[in-house]
Amino acid sequence: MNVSQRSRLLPGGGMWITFSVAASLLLFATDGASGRGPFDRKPKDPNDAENRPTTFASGALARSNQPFWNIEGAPALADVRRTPPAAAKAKKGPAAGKVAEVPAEPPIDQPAVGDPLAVSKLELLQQEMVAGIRARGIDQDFLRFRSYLGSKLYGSNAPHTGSELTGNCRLSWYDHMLRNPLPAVAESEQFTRHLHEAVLAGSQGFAQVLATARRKLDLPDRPLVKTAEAKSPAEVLELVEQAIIAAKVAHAAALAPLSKSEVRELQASLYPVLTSQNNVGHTLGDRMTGRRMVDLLERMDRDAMFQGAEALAPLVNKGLLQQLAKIPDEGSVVVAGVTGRVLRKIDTPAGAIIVGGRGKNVYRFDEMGDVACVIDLGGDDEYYEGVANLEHPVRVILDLAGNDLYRGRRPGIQGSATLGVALLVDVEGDDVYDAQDLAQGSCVGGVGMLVDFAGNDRYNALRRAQGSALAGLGILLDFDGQDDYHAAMWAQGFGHPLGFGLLDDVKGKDHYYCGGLWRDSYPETPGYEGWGQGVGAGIRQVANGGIGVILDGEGDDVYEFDYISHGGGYWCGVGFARDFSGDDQYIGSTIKGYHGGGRGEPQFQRFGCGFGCHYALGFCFDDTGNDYYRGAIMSMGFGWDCSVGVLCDFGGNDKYDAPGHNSNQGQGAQASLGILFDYDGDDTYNSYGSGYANPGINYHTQPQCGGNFSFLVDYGGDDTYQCGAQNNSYIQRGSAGGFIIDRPKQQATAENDAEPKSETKKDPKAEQTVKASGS
Amino acid sequence: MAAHRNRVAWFLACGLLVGGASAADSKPSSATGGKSAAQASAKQNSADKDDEAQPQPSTKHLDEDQAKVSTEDLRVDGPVGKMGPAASAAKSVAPPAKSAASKKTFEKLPPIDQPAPKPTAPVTAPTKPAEAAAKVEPKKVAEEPPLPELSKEMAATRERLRWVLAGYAHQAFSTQEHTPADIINLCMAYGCQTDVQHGGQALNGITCLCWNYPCSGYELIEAVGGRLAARIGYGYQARPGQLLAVLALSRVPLTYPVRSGTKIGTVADLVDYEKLHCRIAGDQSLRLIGLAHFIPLAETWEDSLGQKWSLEKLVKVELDRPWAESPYGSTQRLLGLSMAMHQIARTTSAADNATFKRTGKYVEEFQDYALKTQNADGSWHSAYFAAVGPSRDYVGSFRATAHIMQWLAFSLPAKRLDNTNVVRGVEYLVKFLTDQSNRWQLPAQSPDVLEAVACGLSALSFYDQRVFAPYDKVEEEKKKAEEEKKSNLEKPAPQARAEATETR
Repeated sequence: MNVSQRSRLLPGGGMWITFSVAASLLLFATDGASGRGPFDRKPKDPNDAENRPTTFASGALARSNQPFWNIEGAPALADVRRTPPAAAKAKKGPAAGKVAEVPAEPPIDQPAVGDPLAVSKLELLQQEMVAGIRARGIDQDFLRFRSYLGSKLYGSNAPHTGSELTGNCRLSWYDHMLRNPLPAVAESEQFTRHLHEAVLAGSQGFAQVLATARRKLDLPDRPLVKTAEAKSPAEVLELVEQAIIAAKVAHAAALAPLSKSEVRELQASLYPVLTSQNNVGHTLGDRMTGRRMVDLLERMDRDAMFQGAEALAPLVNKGLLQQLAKIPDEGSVVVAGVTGRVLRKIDTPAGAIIVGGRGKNVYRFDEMGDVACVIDLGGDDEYYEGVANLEHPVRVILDLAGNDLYRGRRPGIQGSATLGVALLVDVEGDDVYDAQDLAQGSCVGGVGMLVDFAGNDRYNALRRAQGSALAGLGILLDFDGQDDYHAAMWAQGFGHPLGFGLLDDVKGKDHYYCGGLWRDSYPETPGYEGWGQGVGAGIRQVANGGIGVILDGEGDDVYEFDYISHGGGYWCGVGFARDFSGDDQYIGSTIKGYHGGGRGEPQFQRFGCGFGCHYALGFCFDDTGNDYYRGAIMSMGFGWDCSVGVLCDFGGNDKYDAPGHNSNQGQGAQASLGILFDYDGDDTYNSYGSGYANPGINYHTQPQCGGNFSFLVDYGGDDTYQCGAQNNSYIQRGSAGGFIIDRPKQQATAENDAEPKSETKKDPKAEQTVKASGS
Repeated sequence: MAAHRNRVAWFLACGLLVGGASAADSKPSSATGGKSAAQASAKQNSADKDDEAQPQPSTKHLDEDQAKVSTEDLRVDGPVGKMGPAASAAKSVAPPAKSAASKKTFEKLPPIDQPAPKPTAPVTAPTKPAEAAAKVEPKKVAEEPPLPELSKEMAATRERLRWVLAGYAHQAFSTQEHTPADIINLCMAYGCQTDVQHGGQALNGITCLCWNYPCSGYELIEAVGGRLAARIGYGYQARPGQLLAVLALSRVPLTYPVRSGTKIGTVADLVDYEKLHCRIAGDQSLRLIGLAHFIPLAETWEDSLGQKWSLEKLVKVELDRPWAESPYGSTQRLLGLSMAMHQIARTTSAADNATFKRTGKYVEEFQDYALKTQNADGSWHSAYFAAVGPSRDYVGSFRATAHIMQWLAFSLPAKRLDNTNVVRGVEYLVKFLTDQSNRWQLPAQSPDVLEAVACGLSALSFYDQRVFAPYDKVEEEKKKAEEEKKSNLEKPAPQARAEATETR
C-alpha cells in the first residue's frame, strides 16, 4: 500500500499525518547514513544534562540512528505489513526463501477474516502516535521509557534475582514485544488474525496452530505434520493406532529429563499446589512448592510434549472422521466400564482402542482400564471422567455424532491433561461439557485439546478450563453453534507460565462468562476474581507469564468477566482477545454470580479489555460491529507498572462505558503505555480518564522511567466524551504523554488537513486542548 | 592411594576372568534341571557344532504352576554367563569364587561380529539368558595372528575403562524402585550381566524384563492381539522395538522365554510382533537392530497391513529416511544398519545386492564423517553430526559422544579401533564417567541421563570386548607361566639339597 492509499484511509487530517510521517521517515533514511537519528539534537554536549543518558541503554539508544519506536530486534513497520507471496518469491537470497518457508504464518495478501484494512489502520495509529510524540518533543522521554523497560527485562533475566521479578519461564516473544511496544500492536493484530485463519483452514490449519504455539513458547520449529489420508475405515484405525503410539513415545520423551522422584513429586503436588488450593488469581497459596513445580515443569521436554500433540493432530481431520463413520455395525465386544454396544476392541502396546456403536453408550473411564482411545460412531452418549495423567498419558475421544454429555469431577478430563496428552473431538450434536478443574482443552504440564465441530454446546467448569495452559498447550476450538462458556477463574484462553491457552469460537452467538465466584484479592475494591478470556499471566513470586488468546469469528457475542480479564497480560505475560465480527458486548463485572444467583459483591471490575499489569502486555481487538465495552477502572487500553495495554476497535458505533471512573480508556500509569484506538463510527467515551497521562509515578524513578504515555485515538464519527473533550479535537491530557486525538471524517473536513498550530487550555482538569486547525 | 591400588589390582585380576560365573559351571537354574532353552537351541544348532556335547532339550511345555517354580529359580545371585556387549570387565569385580568359574568359558565369549544364533525350538522353561547364549556360541573359526603388544597408554586406558564399567555396575537397581524403562537402559549397558535387586535377591536384568517382573508397578510385557509384545510409553519402552533391540545387542537367544500373566512365549514372539508392525513411515531403527540380529537375511514376511517385508526392504526404508528425522542424531539408525551389515557379511549371497552395497558404503562414509566431526577432546557436539566444535551443553555433548561411540565401537572394523580418534573418544567417555561417578548415582537419575550413561557404558563395553579382551587371555597365560617359573625357582634343586646336607 502506498502513501496515497494510506491517506485515503485516514479520515480528516489523514493527509497531514501521512505527509509528515512520510517526511520524517525519509529524513531518517537519509540521515541514517551519517549515523544520526532523526531525533538527535546536534551538536551534543556530553556535559549537558539534557543530553546525558539516564541509563546506559537509553544513552545508547539516544545515540543510535534508529527511530524511537523501533529498535534492534523489532520488526520494522514494513516487515510487519504482510508481503504478497509473489513479492516474497521475487526477493533474492536465502532470507527471502526462509520467509516463504515459515510454516505457521501463511503469506496472505488480503486478510481472510476480520477487517480487511486492519493492518493499514494500525499503521496509521502508529504513525499518529509517532507524530504526536514527536510534535510534543517527548521522543527522548519515550526512548527512556523503552530503555527502562529493556533495562528492567535485562536486569531481571535470571532465575533468581533477589527480587520478586525474576526471569524464570520468561518467553522471548513477550520480551521482544515489551521492548518494542509500538510495533507490538501491529504484530499482535497479525498474530491473532493468522491464528484464526489457521483455525479456519481445517486439519492442516490445526497443525499450523500447533506450530505457532510452539514458536511462541520458544520451542524449536518442526516440519508441519502432513494431513493424513485414508481410503478406508481400516486405514483410519491404523492411523489412530500409530498416532497413539507416537503420542505415547513423545510423552515418555517429555518426562525423560525428570527423575522418578521428581515425576512423583509433580504427580502428587501439581494439582493441589497449582490449582485446588487457590482461589486468588495472582499467586499461589504455597509459593515455595509452586516455584518448585514450575521449575520441574520447565525442565520437562516440552518440545517432545508438543510432538505428542502433533502426533494426534491428524485426527482432527473431517475427512478421516468421515471415513471412521463408515465402520460397519458389526461385532460386539464386552469392555469393562462401557454400557451399550461396543463394536471392536483393538489392543495396542500403547493402550486399547475401542469402537462404540451407533446407539447410546455410557463410558465410565475409571472402570475401563488401559483404554487410550474411544471412537464412538453415534448416539447420545455419556462420558464420565476420563483423566489424562501419568497413569493414562494419552487419552483420545472421537465422537462422531449425537448430543453427548461429558461429565466428571477429576482434574484432567474432557480433552485435558496433567502430565499427559489428550484430544477430544466431537463432530456433531448439542453437547454438554461439565467439569470442575482442569477440563475442556486445558493442561498443566502437557497438552489438552478439545475440538467441537458443530452444535450448540455448553461448557461448564471451575478453574483452568476452556483453553487454559500451564507449561504446555491448551486448546478449545468450537466451530459452530451458539455456545455458552462458563468458568470461574483461569479460563477461556488463559496462559500461565510456559503455557499457551487458546479458545477460538468460529461461528455463532456465544456467551462467555468468567468469574463470579471468588472475591478478588484487592482489599480496596469490591468484585470477583476472573482471570480469563485471553489473558497471559505470571504467578507472582513464582514465575513469568504465558500466552493467552481468545478469538471469536462470527456472531454477536456477549463476554462477561470479572477482574483481570479479557485481552490482558499480568506479571510478565501477554494476552490477546479478538472478535472478528458482530455487535459484541464486553461486560466488565459479571451480571450474576457464578452459580446463577445474585452477586454478593457490588458491580465493579478492574483490569479488562486490553490491559497490561506489572511488566505485561494485553491486546484487545474488535473488527466490526457496534460494540459495548464496560469496566470500572484500569480497563479499555490500560497499562500499569511498565506495561502495555491496547484496545483497538476497527469499526462501528461503539460505547466505552466506565462512568464516573478516571483510570481507563487509553491510559498508561506507573511508567506504562495505554492505547485506545477506535476507527470510524459515532462513539461514546464515558470516563474521566480518557487518554490521561498522570505526571506522577511512584513505582519507578523519574525521569529514568520516561513517564506515562496515554493515547485515545479516534478517527471519524461524532464522538462524545465524558471527560470534556470535544469531537474532532487534539488534546493534551495530563502530562505531555497524554493524548486525545479525535479526527473528523475526510469528506466533512477536507480543509482540515493541516498541522495543529496552537494549543489552548480548555477542559476542567486544565489539560491543554488542541483543536485541529479549522475544525 | 594404596586402597585404590589394591582395588585396581583386584579388578585387573578379576578382569582376566571376564564376566563371572559361566553357565556351564553354574548349577542348573531352572526347574527343569538344566534342560534349558539354551540347550534346546544348542541341539538345534548341533549340526554346526558337532564337536560340542549338547544336552538333550526338553520338549515338555510348562503349565502355570511349573512356570511359577521356574520364576523362583530365576532369582539367582551373581553373574550368569557371558554374552552381549558387557560380558567383559563390568562384572569381573564379582566375588572371586564366581569369577573363577568363568575362566573356563572365557574362550566362548562371542565377538559381536560372529553370527547370531539360529532360531530354535520353543523353550520349555525360562533360564538365565547368558546360560542360553553360552550354549549357542559357535566355535572359533581359525587361528588368529598373534596380537601386537598393548602399549602402556592403551593398557592404562583399559585399566581406567574397566574401573568405570565396574564402578557403575555396582550401583543398585531394584524392581521396587525402577521401571522397566530403567532396566532396559541398564541392560543396554551390561547386557546379560545386568543385575537388579528383587525382594532382596539379585535377579538377572534380562530375566526381569522377559519374565515380566513388576518393576515399580509397571509390567512390560502384555498380550496384544494374542501375541506377546512390550508396552510403549513412560516407564516402558521409550520407542517401539527398544526391548528387542536391547535383547539383540545382549545376544539373548530367540528361544529365551517371555511371558505375560499365564501366557508364555519366547523372544521369537516379540520378533514376530515387531515384524507385523514394520511400517514405511516413522522411525524403524530399533526394529532394524532387533530384526537384523534375530532373523535371517533371506526371510520375508507380511506386516499386519499385508505389506511384504524383508530385511532388505527394512534397510532400504531406513536408508531412505532423512537422517534429521531420526532421534539421537541418527545414531540408532546407523547402529541398525551396522547390525544389518554384520548379517550381510555372513551371507555370501548378499554380497552383490545393490541395497546392501549401498548400506555398506553409507555406513563407511558416515564412519569417516563422524571421525571428521569429532572435537579435539574426543567429544562430539550436542547436535551430533549437525554441528562441529565444543558445545555449551555439557551433558548433551556427552550424550552425543556416547551414542556415536556406541555405534563406532560396534561397527568399525577391528583394524580401525585403535585409531587415535576412536581412542580419544573412549578416553573422553572414561574421563567423563569417572568425573561424574560420584555425583551420578544412576539409580536416582532421570531416564535421559540414565540412557546417555548406559549408551556410554555400552560403548566402553563394546570397545573393551573388541580391543582389550583378546589380550586378557594372553596376559593370563603369561602370568601363569611366570608363576610357574617363580615356583620352580623357589623350589631348591635336588643336587643342591644334597650338598647342603653334606656340609652339615
